[in-house]
Amino acid sequence: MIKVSYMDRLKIADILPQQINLNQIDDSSGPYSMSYGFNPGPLAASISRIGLINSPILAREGKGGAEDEFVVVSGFRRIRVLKKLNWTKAPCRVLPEATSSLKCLLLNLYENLPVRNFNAVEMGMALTRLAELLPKEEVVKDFMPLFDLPSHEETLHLFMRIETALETQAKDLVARGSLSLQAAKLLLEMDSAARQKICRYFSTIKFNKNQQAQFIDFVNDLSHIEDNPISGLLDEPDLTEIRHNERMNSPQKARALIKLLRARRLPHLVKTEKRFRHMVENLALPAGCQITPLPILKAPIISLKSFLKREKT
Amino acid sequence: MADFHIKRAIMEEGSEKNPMTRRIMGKLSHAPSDVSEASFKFQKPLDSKVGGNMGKDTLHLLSYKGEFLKPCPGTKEYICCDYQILNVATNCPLDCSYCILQSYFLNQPYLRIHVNLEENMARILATIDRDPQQIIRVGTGEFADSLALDPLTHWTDVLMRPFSKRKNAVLEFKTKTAQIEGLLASPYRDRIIVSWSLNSPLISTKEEKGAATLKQRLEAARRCQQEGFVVSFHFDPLIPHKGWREGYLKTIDLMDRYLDPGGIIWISMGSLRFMPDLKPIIRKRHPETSILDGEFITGLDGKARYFKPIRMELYGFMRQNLEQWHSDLGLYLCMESDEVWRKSMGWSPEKSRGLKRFLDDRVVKIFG
Repeated sequence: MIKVSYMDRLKIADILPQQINLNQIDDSSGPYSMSYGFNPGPLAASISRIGLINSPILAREGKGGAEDEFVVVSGFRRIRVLKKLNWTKAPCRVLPEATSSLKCLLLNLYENLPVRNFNAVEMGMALTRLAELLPKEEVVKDFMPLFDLPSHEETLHLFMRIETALETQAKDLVARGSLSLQAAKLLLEMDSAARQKICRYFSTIKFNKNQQAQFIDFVNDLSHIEDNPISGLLDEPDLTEIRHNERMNSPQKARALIKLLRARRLPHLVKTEKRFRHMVENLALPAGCQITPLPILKAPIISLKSFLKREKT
Repeated sequence: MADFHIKRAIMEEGSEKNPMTRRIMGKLSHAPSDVSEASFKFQKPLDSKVGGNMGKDTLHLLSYKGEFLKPCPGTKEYICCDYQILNVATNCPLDCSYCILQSYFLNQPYLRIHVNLEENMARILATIDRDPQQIIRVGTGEFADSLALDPLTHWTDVLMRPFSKRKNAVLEFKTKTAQIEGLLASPYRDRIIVSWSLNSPLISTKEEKGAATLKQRLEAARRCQQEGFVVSFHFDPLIPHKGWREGYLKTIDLMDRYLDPGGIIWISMGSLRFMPDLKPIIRKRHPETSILDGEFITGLDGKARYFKPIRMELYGFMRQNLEQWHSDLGLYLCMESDEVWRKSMGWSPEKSRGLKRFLDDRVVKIFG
C-alpha cells in the first residue's frame, strides 16, 4: 500500500480554477508526464462538443508574476488538444508553490490510474520518474503492482530502459503494441543504429511476436557470424526486395524474410529438411497418407498419418 | 593462489566460527599483495550490486541449508550417467564464455563457499554407506571448479580421506586449473579421480578465460599420474569452429605426449548446449565469442544444442582419433540420445541405467 502521508495534505478540489494563457504552459513531455502515443481524436471531439469538463492541474515555474511559465502536472493530453483546437486560455488549477515534485507526480499518477490503461512506454515513464524521487526498492514493492507488473528489479529496469534508451520509432511501436516486450528487451541489447534499422522493418511489416524474436535473433547471429554490421545486413538486396515487394502482403513478407534468414543461419538444417520433403514426395504415398518428421528433425522418429474417409453411400 | 584475485569476503552471520571460514580468512589475511585489499565484512542480506564479473572477486562464505549430495540434474529425454553432485560451492573464479553457471546462478553471484561441509560429512557418508553394493560416483565440479579455490578451502583435505576408505564410491575432482598441490600433499589415492576439462587449443585460449593452458593442464595430469592418481578427461563442450578437426587432433597429440592412456578411467564427450536464457548473457558478457555461431536447434529438453548430424560428426571424429590413440579409454557421451550413441560410438547403453553400469564397471576395473 502507498503511504497516505505522500498525499494527505493536497486538497485539489479546494483550489479554484483560474484562466491561464495556453502559450504560458510548457506542453513538452515534462517531469510529471506519463502520456505517450495517445490518439487525440476522441478527446478533441469531446471538447469541441461539450467543452472542457476537468481543469488541468499546473505547477508554476516562476515567482508568481504575470509572465510565469507553467508546467503540466495533470492534464497533459487536454492541454495538447486545447492548443490544437486553437484555444488561447483555459481554466486550470495551479498548485501551491510549496508542492513537492513527488506530490505532483503522485497526483498525476493517481488521477490517471483508475481511468485509463497505461501502455508499456507510459509505464516506463511513470516508473522512471518515480525512481528519480523514491528509493528503487519502494518503487518495485509499492508501485509496480499498480501496473499489474511483477515486483522484480529486472522488470523495473526493462521498463525504465524502454523509456530512457529506446528511440522514438521503437517507442511508438511499443506504445502501439506492435513491438512485443520480448523483442524490445532483445533490441535494448543492441546499439542504436542496429535497433533503428530493425524497427524500420517492424514498422512497415507486421511480424507476430515469435517472428519478431526470431528476426532479431537471426539478424544478430548472422551479423556476428558474417562480421557484417546489422545495418549493412538489413540493407542487402535480398532483404530489401522482400520489404518493398508490392505483390506480397505484410504477413507474406514477414514469412519470406524469416525463411530467407533461417536458410542463411541454419543451412545444414534447412538442406536436410528439403531433402526429407523431396524423399517423401518420391515415395508417391497414396492419398490420405502423410509422413512428417518430428519438429526440426531432432528425433529419429517420423510420424505416419493415414486418413481414411468413409465413402458416401 | 594462482591468478584469482579475491578482493572481498562476505561472511554470513553465524558462519564466522566455522573451521573452514577460519581457515579461509586466515589464508586471506596473510596472503601477499593480491589479497591485501580484502575487507572482511559481516553483512546480511547479500549486496545485490555486482558488476559484469558476477562477483568473481568476492568470496561469500555461508552455511548451505540444502542437501549436499544430489543427483546430477539430467533430463529423461537423454541418456544420463547418474552422477552425484557434492555441492561444496557455487560459481567459479574462471570465466569460460560457455559456462552454464552464468545463468544458473545469475541471482546468486559471488564465489559461494559452503563452509558447513565438514559438519555435514557424516550425513553425506551415511548416504553413501546406506547401500554398500551400489557404486556411487561423486563429483564436486558441476557447480564450481573442484580445485580452483582448493588452496583456500582445502576441500582435498576434507574429502580425500573419507572417500578413499570407501569401496563403493569414487570422488572426482574436475578442474581447468593446475592447482594440484592439495592433492599431492594428501597420502590418499584410492577411489580418487582427478579430472580435467579439455578442448581445442583455440577454444581453450579464446573461450576459457582464467583457466590454465592446455599444456599446464596436461602437465598437471601427468604429475598426478606419476603420483599414483587415476585421471579422467571431459571434452565438454565440444565446439565446431574453423579448423576444429586439426584443433582437437592437436589436443589428442598433446595427451599422447603427456599421459599414460592406461591410467585413464574415462573420457566423456558432450557438445555445447544451453538453456535459451544463457544466450543473451553470453552475448553481453563475451561480445567477442564465436561459440554461438553454430547451427543450434531446440532439443527435447528445451536446451539449444547443435543440429544432430553436426553432433554426430563431432563425436565420431573424436571417438575415431581417441581410439586410435588407445582402445580402452572408457569413452562415453554426456546427455545424448540412443540414436546418437549408436551412430557415433558404434554402440549404445540404451538407457541411463546402462550408462551407469558401464561407468561402474570402469570403476571396478580400475580400482578393483
